[in-house]
Amino acid sequence: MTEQTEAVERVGKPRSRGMINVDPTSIEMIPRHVGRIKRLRQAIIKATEREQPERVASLQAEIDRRMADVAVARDALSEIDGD
Amino acid sequence: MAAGDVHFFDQFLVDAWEKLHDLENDTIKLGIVTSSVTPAENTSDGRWGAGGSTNFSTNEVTPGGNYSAGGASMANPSMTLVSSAGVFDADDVSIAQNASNPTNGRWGIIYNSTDTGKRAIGYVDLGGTIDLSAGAFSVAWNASGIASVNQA
Repeated sequence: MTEQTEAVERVGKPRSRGMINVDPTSIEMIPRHVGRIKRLRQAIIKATEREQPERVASLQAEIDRRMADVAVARDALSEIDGD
Repeated sequence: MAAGDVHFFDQFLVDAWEKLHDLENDTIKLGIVTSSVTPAENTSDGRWGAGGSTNFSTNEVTPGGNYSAGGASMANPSMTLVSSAGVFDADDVSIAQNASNPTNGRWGIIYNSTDTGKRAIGYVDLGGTIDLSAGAFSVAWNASGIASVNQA
């Protein structure tokens, strides 16, 4: 007899949780930037293979914007070294 | 539910496998609706417009200021493979403060604006009534992405 997995009762749990109107600092955004930049780079590889130059440019612009915010966070942390 | 919680509609889980959505190349938008509607995962055939069973656009906040009818675009949507999971992500959403912005947003409806039927994809709990005229509105999606499709 085939063992059947008991159906899991779905209670409508969220798939993810974002931040609403939190106005996070650059440092607080680091985890989001890290994950998003990785996925953007993957998306650029795909868009390049599919010959979608406008999409590549748009994705890269978002990477650049997030890297700029990462730089702000890095500068803030580097102030610790200066003390 | 808590502020920022993202849910897919059950119908989307089927539509996605029937080529009704191209999450990377279609225009995905976040429309804001009032508390006059309470979306749920089992909301029947949600749309941003007519053609389905639930028309969320009829519950949209009154456009004004920096909020245009139809909501804000979720730019650069992407589907990428992360550790055997397909991860859907998009740029964070922000709407600058303006005295003419809507004052009574309650839910964000994620929908496919390219789709002829403007099928709804999911919804975001804003955590309560949001007054966009009082301050800037922002949604920073989860660090791991908006949602993922995993092996069973």
